[in-house]
Amino acid sequence: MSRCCMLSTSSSGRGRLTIAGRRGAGHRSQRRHRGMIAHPFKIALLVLLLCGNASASELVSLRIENQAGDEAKSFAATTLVGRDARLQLLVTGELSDGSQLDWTHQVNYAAEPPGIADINDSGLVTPLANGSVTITAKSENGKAAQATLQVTGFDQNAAVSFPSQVAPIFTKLGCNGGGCHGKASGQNGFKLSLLGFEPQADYERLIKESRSRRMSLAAPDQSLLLLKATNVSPHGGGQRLDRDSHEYRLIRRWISQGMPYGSGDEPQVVSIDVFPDQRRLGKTDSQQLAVVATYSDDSTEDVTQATVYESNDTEMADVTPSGLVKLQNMVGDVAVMARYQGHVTAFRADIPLGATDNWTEDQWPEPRNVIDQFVYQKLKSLGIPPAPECDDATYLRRVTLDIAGRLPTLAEVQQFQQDTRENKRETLVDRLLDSDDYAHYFARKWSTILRNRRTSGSLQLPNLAFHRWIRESIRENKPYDLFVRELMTASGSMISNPPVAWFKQVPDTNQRVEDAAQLFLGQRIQCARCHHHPYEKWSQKNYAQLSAFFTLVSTKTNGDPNEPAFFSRVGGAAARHPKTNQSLPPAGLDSAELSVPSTDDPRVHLADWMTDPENPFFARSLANRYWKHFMGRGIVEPEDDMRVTNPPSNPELLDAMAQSFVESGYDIKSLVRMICRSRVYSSAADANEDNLGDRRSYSRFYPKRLQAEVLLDAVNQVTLSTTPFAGMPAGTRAIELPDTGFSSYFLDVFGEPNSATACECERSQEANLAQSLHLLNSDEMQKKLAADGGRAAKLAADGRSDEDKVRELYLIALSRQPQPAELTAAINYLAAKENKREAYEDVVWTLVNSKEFMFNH
Amino acid sequence: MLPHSRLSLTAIVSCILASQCLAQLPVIELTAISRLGGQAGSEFEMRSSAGSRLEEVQQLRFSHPGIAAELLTDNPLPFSDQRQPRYGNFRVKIAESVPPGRYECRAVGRHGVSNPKAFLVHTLDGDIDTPPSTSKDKPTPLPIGNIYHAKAAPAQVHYYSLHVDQGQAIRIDCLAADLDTRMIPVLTLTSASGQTLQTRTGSDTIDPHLVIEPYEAGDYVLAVHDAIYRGGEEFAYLLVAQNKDSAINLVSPAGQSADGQTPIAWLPAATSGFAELTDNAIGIEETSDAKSITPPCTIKAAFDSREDEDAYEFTAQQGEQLAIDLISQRLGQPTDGRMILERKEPQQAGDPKWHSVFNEDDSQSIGDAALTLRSTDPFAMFTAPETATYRLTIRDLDSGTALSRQQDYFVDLRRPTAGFDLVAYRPFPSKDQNASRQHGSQLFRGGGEAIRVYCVRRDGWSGPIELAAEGLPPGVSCAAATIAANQNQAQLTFIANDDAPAAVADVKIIGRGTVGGEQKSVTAAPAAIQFGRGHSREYIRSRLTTTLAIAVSDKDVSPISITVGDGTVAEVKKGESLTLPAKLTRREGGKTNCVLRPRDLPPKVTSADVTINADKNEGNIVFKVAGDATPGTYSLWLQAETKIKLKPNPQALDRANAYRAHLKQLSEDPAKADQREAVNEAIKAADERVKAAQASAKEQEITIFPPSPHVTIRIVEAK
Repeated sequence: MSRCCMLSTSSSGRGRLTIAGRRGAGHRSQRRHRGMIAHPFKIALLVLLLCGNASASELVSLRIENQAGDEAKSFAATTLVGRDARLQLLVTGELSDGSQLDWTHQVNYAAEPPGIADINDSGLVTPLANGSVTITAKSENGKAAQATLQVTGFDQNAAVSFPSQVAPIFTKLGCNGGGCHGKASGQNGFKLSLLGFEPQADYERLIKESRSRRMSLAAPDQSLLLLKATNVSPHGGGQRLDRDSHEYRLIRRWISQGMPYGSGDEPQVVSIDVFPDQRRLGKTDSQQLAVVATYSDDSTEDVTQATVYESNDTEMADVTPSGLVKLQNMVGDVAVMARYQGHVTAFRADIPLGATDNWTEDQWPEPRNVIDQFVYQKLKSLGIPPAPECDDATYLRRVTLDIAGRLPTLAEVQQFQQDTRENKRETLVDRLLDSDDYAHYFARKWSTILRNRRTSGSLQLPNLAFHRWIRESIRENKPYDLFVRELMTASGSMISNPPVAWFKQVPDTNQRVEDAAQLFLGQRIQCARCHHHPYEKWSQKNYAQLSAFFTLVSTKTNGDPNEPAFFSRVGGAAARHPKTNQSLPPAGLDSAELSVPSTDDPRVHLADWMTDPENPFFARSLANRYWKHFMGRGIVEPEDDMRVTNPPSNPELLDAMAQSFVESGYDIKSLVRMICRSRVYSSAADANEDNLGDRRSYSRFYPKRLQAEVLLDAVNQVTLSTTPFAGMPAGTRAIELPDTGFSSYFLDVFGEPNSATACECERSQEANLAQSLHLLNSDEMQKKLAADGGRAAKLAADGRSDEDKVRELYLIALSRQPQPAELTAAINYLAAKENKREAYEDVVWTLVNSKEFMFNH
Repeated sequence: MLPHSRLSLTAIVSCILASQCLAQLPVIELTAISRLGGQAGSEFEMRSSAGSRLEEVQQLRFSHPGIAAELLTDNPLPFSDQRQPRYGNFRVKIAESVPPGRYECRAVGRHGVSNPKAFLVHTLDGDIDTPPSTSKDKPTPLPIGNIYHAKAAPAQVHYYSLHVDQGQAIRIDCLAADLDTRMIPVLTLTSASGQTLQTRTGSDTIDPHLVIEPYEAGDYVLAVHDAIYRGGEEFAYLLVAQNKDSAINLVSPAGQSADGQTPIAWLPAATSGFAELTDNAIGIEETSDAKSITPPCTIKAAFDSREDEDAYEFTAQQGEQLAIDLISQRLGQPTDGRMILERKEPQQAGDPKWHSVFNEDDSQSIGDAALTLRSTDPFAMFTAPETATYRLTIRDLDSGTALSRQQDYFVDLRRPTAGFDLVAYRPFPSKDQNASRQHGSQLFRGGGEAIRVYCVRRDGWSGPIELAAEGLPPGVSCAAATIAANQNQAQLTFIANDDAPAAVADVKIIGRGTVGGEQKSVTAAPAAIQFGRGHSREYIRSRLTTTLAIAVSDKDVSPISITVGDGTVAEVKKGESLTLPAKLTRREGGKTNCVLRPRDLPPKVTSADVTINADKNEGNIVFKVAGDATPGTYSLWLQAETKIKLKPNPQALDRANAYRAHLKQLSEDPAKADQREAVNEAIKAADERVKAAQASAKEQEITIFPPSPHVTIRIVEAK
């Protein structure tokens, strides 16, 4: 018998597709189409229409954004200083429906008077002479806009600055990337600092190393640097520069000037801004970006061409090196990171579907809490209709798997089915949170990312004690701030104070800093250990000051030398800056420096800062981590990489959850209740035309494959078997395991993490052929199916009708009754087989191999 | 026949174990007894259930005369009229008059007197021995007021049920570490529906208890298992549920010894007189402000939260001396105290300014890999640099609450009372101290056994200590030794004469020193290794014990004897060398090279190892004394390393052969022809007995590390 349970894709719910018309009042811009189209071919037609950039609405006006004025910093640049200057024009068109679109690449440009500046088709302006120039942009339908730009300093042969002008070229071209000359050992004898964070060192290497053969003052074009970059001299990295490019000319001029480093007092970049910073766009639209740097002398410069761009979701949007964002055929939101001279910012685009634009307020479900409020707010904004609520059977299975890490028992399924109380879902959540299974399941989650890892051999006491502490903390619902405080400030022996084991598992100060930041602040600061973080604002100074909290941690042995006690020495808490060797006092991220008395444990001050309700990272990080656990995707994704350039998909939702979490006294169970009681969490997982492409707005529940341990336990639960784990009592379930040191092919193949890092990403949720083969055709599965005391044997020996038994089996495996066709197929199959036990083995096998079984949906 | 089977099994086990410990002369090692205690007035059977060299254990020696053990016997062997001893199996009687508490039990067998094992006497309702349930669904009833005897099995959990009435509060104790077992108990209390209510865990040295506060009336389930799911003979535990209000402590707190009880405690407890401390202590209530005190005084307080910090302020006059002693870990608390003393800046406007005087963490490190007197309790001698207000801040660096929610401490601020304490134990005879494990005593004729003595000097006292042994059995001698003023350890060696009679005796080590111009005599607290490394615990545990027991064998002769010098105190000048002759007496089995390694050399004195080849019996040990060595009297010793051959127990084979010969004679006796068939059957069984006995009579080659007699030298000024 072969059977494959597929998740339904039926368009249950409202059964209609609405395409955006005029948006509600208060929206800044609107999409172009309106009306309601129910027929599929009309949908297809509409999609075709949407795919084209040409709008059915008429362009009614144009605007060049580069306009000087009182709010100059709110606009793109208007001045070009010096002959090396470049400036990106931004042209915005307003349509007859009021929406705004980027028109930069769809207009013709003209400059008056001529000879002051040159403009190409992309709106890139380069200077030709000093003066004032008026740029006119004109569309095909005759709409026009003008802007006046100033060119100054063109007649001055200003010295090229290495740190401000040359080094950024290396970054832009990827020369100093981690895979090329920027790696620690350099590349083919030439090393640059990673992403140009150490221009002085780069300069020294470039000018002085290899007997200065990289530069030729006498014949700049023969400089090895340029010959390699243009691939005239064979270059492993291929051609990075055209001889006719701006960058080539700039470097050549710098060489011919004698390769000055710069005066040393050049203004430094203090911030960058991207224009626009946010825009509502349509599928397949594009948007030109402009980036302006602000310097320490308050001057500004257009650095669009020198900026590096990166999309946080390339399936939704690509970006060209010149800053042109090109959307794919998806709805939702996407961010594009812009990085220049160690500064980062991001552009965010919303791509609405508009299917609910004609909905009235009463068509929207009543929010149950802030989660519903802010998810629906976003869905309204994007015009994506929310999925209806799932049925009771689905909810029971979903929430039991998510909170307790197991399938509902038969009794639970039957009881829930019969429960007619209105609040039965709330009661269920409470019951699950009060159960030991909740503690087991989340202890497994935390134990893994807290690196509770066996070093070798048999069970080890510190592992078990640490796991037990985590589990009891969760069971007792220890406030999260206290949980983290006890962990971060753990002192003493591993048996008396089990969280001390974390310091043994993470023996290096750097790792402790990085793990603590990643686990509890959602900040990956690893990069800042060696250089300024390329995608964040964190510097090596920030890193060193955070590590200063841990510098007094020390050990002593009073018993088993493998279990040293940890404590904080008396002394001055400080860490040295790796480059300047300056002794730095401790400081939290984005926080003031602390003066810690020598007799204090600096980690207590760290915990104070971390758990302060005003800490911008702490509560948000946990809210996001738990949101992902239940909803399958973080509001910030990955959940522990909450950098500026990876903005949340719904910042209001994240803030509201974090605020609620803080106000609850860091009550994790309260947070879980809030999530699980929301309508959003109980949304059906069935995808339809409206929400199929939604991956970030939570218009529906995103199905998740069961985690390795949960799946193994579920298989055991259905087959009525157990899996032995060396050293543990018989019947121990996989979610109860204290560490990841147990030998299990099943767990390995389904992506059990190794607890080697603090990253949840170590747990693989990917599907692969080996998993399928193991479930379909392995000895382990065969033994579980064919066990004498197993489910199949018991069902075969059971005197009830096949129908009764099949119905029960479905409740056990899928928490629902079989559909008529499923029931008929199973009964017919059982009737046709002479060997009942084998027949039931087949039916059980079929169920545990179905996608419906393997997924939480 | 069951007795025969048991005998064979014992022999086989002994052989196996013997083959694993060929690094010392055969000496009994007791790792488990089958019962950890019993009710006063009761009788029960008991075994020396695990260890090595347990052959022919015929006696259990208890530390209280009211506890007696009678060796069980089986019926006589065929054609014999003597009942057969069932070695290692006893009927134990505890007299009604024995006060409740912890005592000690030692096994005495063919290979000497064993290390001690704790034994509990109680006056509760009774003892239950039936194996507990391993099924969560069918827990074993745990009657309140009884003691349940159980033994953890690998990867198993024991389940007990108990009923609680409305308003009833129950205390459950699980005793393991307190009774010398390796078990680290984990107690988990669940409701009848399986929901965890609370869990408590123990450690290598602290046993857990759990209090069931008045929950709802009903049935509860208690799960008990080892923290690492280990099990076996060494993992026994006692479980007792008592009504909380009337619950009694079955064992005394660490360091406090009730009459007749064994002061089982971590070793640092040996160095404090806790009884006086507790009697005079001032209880301090927890407040957030510094408490004002007037030394000398003793404070009793508690670390009652994770980050608790208590501060005490006092005034001291310039030059005033105080010994400041924080006592907590030595009370058996899971603490790691730190003391910080600061001096207040006088005449400061605004917030007072404090200057650091000292911060102290652990006490001085005295001991070795097998026995350490180091405590996590800090101590400081303080002399006030000026008349001022001082602030003493107390913290617990072990901020965990897994073993105890609240931890008590005392701070003793006293006028210095100079003196010293001594601890003595029998070190494991190996050149690698990390290989040390629990072991007994078996002094061969002509052989030697070491006793190591550590001293802890109190409140700044320094001075030499003369050591002597008392209570030695006949035929055993031990020369006096000295712990020099700049040392804290010395080793004594007991030497058995060639004709020393068999004996088991308790000896005392007495130390004498001059304190404040007066001669002071101190008896060393005896200590013993509790467990060696193993079973996932990689450190050696030792504890205080009741006596230093030694056994002398009249059946065994040491294959090698060592003498150094002529027994007098040799004198050497600073900057010069001293040569002492070392002589070996070789006997059967002792004919190989022998390396002699000087140990416990005084500071600034060096001496090279000396090898006496197999064909030689003499060598010279040269001590080079540096010109800046400190004059004084020092005791040192040599550790030998040599291979010997010996037969551990040829007498057993002799007996087996003699019995077989007796049967053979019967079989050939025409007068017994009618019994020939039975005799031949008996001969077959006797053959098996002979075969089993042959293993222990087989010659074995063993590397041993015997100690030489200790040598005392005197370093004097060069003139």
